[in-house]
Amino acid sequence: MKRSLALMVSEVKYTFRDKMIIFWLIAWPVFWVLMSAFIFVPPGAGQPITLDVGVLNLDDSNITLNGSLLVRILSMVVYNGTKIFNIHNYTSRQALIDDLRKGRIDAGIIIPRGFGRNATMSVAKLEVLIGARSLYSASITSGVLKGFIGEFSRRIGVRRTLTLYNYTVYYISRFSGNYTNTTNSNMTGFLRFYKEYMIGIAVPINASFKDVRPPGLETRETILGWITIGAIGMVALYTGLAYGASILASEKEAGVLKRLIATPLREEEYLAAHSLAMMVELGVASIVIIITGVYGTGARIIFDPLNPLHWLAAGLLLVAALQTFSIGAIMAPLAKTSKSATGMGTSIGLILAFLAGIWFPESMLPPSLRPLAEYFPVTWTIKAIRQILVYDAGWNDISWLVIGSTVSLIALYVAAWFILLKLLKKYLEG
Amino acid sequence: MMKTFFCSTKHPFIINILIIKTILTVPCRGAVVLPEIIEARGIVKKYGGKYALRGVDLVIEEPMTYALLGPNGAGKTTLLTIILGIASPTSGTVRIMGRDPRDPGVRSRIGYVSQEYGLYELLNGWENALLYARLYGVPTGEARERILKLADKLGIKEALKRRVSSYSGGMKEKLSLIIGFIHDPEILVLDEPTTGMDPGSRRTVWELIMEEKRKGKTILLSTHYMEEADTLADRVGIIDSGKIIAEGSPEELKTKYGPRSVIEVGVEDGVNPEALKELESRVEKVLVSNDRLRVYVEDPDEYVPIVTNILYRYGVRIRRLIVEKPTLEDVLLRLTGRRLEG
Ligand SMILES: Nc1ncnc2c1ncn2[C@@H]1O[C@H](COP(=O)(O)OP(=O)(O)OP(=O)(O)O)[C@@H](O)[C@H]1O
Ligand SMILES: [Mg+2]
Repeated sequence: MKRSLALMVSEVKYTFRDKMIIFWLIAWPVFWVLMSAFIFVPPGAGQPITLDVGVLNLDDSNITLNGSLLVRILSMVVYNGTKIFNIHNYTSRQALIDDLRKGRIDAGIIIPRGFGRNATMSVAKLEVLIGARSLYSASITSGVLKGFIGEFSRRIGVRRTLTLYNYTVYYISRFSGNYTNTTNSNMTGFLRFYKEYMIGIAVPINASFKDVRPPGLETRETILGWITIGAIGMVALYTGLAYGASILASEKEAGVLKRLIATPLREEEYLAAHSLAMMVELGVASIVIIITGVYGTGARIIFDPLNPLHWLAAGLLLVAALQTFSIGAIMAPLAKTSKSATGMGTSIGLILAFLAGIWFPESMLPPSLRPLAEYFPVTWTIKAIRQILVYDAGWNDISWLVIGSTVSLIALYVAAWFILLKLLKKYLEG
Repeated sequence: MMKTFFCSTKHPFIINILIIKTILTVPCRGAVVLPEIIEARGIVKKYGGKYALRGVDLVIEEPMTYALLGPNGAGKTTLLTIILGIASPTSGTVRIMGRDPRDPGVRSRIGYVSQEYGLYELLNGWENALLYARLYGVPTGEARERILKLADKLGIKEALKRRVSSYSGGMKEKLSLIIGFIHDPEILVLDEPTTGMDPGSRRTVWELIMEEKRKGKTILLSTHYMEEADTLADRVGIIDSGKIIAEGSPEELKTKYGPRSVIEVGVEDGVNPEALKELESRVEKVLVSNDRLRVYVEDPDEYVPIVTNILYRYGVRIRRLIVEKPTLEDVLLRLTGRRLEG
């Protein structure tokens, strides 16, 4: 054991001096966590956005409903406590279009002369110009403005309908006596029907919208937590596969293997040292990735030292390290040189990270690929870690995942051990 | 198989080292049976259909320096790794001090310097050496002292703090030696310990090896330097194409297999082919390298005039002429028809 530890320490030191390994172990996942956080899940995602809207108000109507009222309402619209529109007033059409072109504002609204009058008496025109500050922003801006204007015009519609209704009632009573006469229930029924029908013309469908998303995907913080753990899973996959597949070949090529075995170090101790080294290396990488995730992007990763389940998650990280190391070791006989072994491990690991629901959500995979995510043991481990550290799951939510990943680990590790011992003997002969 | 010493013999030293430390003491009427230090019998090694070793016996009974001398591909490395229990023979047996060489207890008493340096390139000299110290169970303080002493002797003390990737071949070989010596083992197995070293360093390493020998260590080394075998070895095994074709002390080998005498002639501007042809027809063998001739003869008194005469007739200018005893190189050449060094 002492000998295994000594070898493990050298192995880990060696690893962290290899620039290539540092790149794959640390730089690459950190890069992706940050990339994802600021590009694919930009800050503000999951929160209401604020649009900069330029307004050119040419309305001169001298009634309550006019351009100024529209602008006031725009500036007061609030969603989840945040104002949606940030209003900028313009005095010329040209200035407004210039700013749109320069990407200074998201949209422009031109309220034409007579807007208020027309909105009250006839059909009002409104010119909306959609800018495009970024690839996605145009569709978001247009969606938000369409939604707002649609709602605004529906409300005016209802108002105008009610006004029309009141006039109707007034004229009916003027010309056919008191319609509220209690005996005249037919008339009351007709008016009720008439009122609802008229409002229906203004608002034929009153749809309600509600967000129904998986609870874990609700906030940016948990999305980033998901990604952070995914990055660890990705690193575990390709480093584990590459390390397990290449370690014997590379030490043989360096001439270290024979020398180590000529010492009292037993073959089992030799293999144990490498398993330990893999765990330590992934452990260090995980800490760096989690720190990046939590402090660099605001990911939600909870860790309570008093919660045994959280320690289980830490243990599961080591399980992931050994699972991938074992899978790599099982593939080791397929490669002739350490270079080809590393290439094979890294590429298969990366592909699996994408296809097995570790770096990419399962839900984004084509259905034909989902079984891979469902039955791949490393996915179980990563899923369990996510459930615990990101979604604060309880034992009942993850027990099957944990059992599955532990049992699979034992099977994989026994196979790996057997294959590595055989390969070691073969290499010592050559 | 076993060598029997009587308790009253003149081997108190061996008995001290070997009996007390290790070994089965089998009293047979006052006699103690000692296993050989290294005993390899009938070693055959096949790679695919090709023989690397075809029935080698190598037995070392008492502490000494044994040199395996042979050309590239002769099977030296293969034999050493089999003796160390790293590789297994196709057939044959190996015992070290009567035990299986794979036994960790045996391994801890052997130092191995492999032909490939076997170092971690991204670790520095200290880290490499200390790793092996730990693997051999040497306390760190003691190991440090030993590393420093050896590194000082070999002139790489300053380099210990640097990563091995910045070392020259000779420096790597030296660090590799330090590692082989780190646990002060009773048996040292050195596979070409001075390859890639400059002559000065080679001398230093030889001194180091001789010092170990004086301490009563057993040293088994492979080399293709004649001089190394000649200087260091008590016993030399000449190995060629997977077989030990001759064995004995350097002197024994020279008398048994070498020519009686060698006339070495230094010439100017080389030798013309006609002169060479005539020489070869008169003597047993002539070796030519640049401006140097080695002529194998039985009786130098008779042949010196003949040789000078022939050279004179063909206009070859002689710079110097010495009559020498044969060297191991001559032995090897006679036995294998091949030379080792360029
Ligand atoms: N792993 C192997 N597979 C096939 N052949 C091998 C292997 N290892 C050695 N050989 C062959 O066995 C023979 C002996 O090789 P070995 O390395 O023991 O020679 P050596 O005497 O140490 O040579 P050198 O002086 O070059 O170190 C050679 O013909 C070599 O090609
Ligand atoms: Mg060799």
